[in-house]
Amino acid sequence: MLDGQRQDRTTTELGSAGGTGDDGTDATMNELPLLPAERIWGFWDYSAVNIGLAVATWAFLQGAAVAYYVGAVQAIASIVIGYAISVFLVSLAPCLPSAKYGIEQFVGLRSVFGSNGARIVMVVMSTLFAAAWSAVLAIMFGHGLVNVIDNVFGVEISQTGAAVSLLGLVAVVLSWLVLARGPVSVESVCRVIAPVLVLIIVGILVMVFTKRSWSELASLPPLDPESDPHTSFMVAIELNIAGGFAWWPNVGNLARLTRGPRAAFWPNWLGLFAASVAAAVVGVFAALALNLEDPTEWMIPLAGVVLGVLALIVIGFANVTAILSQGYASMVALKGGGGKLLRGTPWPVLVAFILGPAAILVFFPSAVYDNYGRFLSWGAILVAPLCAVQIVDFFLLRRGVLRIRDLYLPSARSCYGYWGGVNAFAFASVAAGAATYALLLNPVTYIPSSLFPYTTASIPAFLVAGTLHVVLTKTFVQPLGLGGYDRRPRVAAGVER
Amino acid sequence: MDDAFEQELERRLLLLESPGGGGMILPDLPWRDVAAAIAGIVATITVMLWWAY
Repeated sequence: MLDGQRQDRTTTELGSAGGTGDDGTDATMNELPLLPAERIWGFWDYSAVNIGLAVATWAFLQGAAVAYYVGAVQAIASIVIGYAISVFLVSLAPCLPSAKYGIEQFVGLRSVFGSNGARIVMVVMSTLFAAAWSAVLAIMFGHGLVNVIDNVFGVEISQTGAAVSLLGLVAVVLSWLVLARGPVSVESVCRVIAPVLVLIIVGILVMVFTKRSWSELASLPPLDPESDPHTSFMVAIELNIAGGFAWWPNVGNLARLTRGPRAAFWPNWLGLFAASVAAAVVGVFAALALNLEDPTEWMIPLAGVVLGVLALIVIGFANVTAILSQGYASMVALKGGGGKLLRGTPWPVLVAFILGPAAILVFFPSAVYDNYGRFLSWGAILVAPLCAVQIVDFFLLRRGVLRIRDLYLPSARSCYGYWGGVNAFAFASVAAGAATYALLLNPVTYIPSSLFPYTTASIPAFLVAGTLHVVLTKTFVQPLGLGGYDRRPRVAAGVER
Repeated sequence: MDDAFEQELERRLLLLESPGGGGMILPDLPWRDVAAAIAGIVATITVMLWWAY
């Protein structure tokens, strides 16, 4: 997940580092390993990007989702615990391998899944995440503007009807128009929104505490908890683990631009962790204080009609900038790790490829918007095992060493060729992790199993996938001499693609 | 475009494979940083559970 601040920084800095990204040689926009001069972020630069990342409209949705299950005190605890676990894991991988070698994060994954396997992972994760997040945010845009119209014109338009879908479609089309013009237009749109959104979050906090004392807020019940309070608390933790894992598809390519390992690791704690926690907690407070789960319904009760409508308009545009950021990050991943075909695809066509599914999903506003928790779960079901497999592969099996040239060689000549460019055992490990998740927490019904209150779903999925990958690799892959796990130096070969 | 890309890739790979890696490879994150992060997470989780549960 990305937002305007991140976009603002990346596009500005990337431009200064080397071109527009369409000439095929701007390393920050393609899969070339970075030169030292192209690493543009120190500790505080990356921290600023990271904080901007976290402060976006999805933080409201996250807070509202948590408020379903727990009250204010347990919400704070569950958000802190959940994000601490998952931000730590995504900070290990994909951040550290991408930062160490300056490689695009899905190129790095070729060592785990093979060159073709990594492309499958990239396309699935980039397009699915972009489509799903874009649809959620576009529908939120529709909800906000419907609320504005209702209050300004004294009408009552359905929040699940055609108006929301059409306005959501407007948000998708607006995003396509901006994105199709390239990174520079993204930058100029996003520059304004992020600071205003910070002001709105602070404003929400102030308004909540002018209406409720802390003791009142802490005593408010959750919106729709599970029958067992312990299960509710664990579901809240799971939601927040999933919220942290949702950064996985993008964060490696940000860490890639840092100048040192500490600059790649610790800023995640200021941004993805601390800022996410702060923004989501504000969302929890607002949802509990107003007993309303839809963030677009908070503004007018909190701030009155005039300020509320203004805030809704800003939030509407903040949703568009968040779509831009998500879409842009996915396009960079596709262009960077997609080989010749996607590298040569015109930018507007790629934008349509990314946003097209979202344009369809907005016509199912209730199914998408009212199931934020399930949607997070669908992300975590894949990301938790993916993250596990990458961590054990890089740190445990390879001792933190990759053969960079082999990442770029054709499958037949690369030590990461596996079987036709696909490491089936890595996919089997991910599948086992995903199955573990589904057994513990049904991703469709969101009904937890009897074991879930003691385990969560993401953590066992992570452990199963990681353990199985080690076992399968040592049992089958390493004995066959595949995967470059022997760590013997190889003679440099010519690069052929 | 692709020729330029291939040439640039080869140039960078040769630099990366040169002694010292041409400054393109960062050192590993010190293990004490990872240990500190884990210790911080464990402490935070403990405090949060004690406070909220």
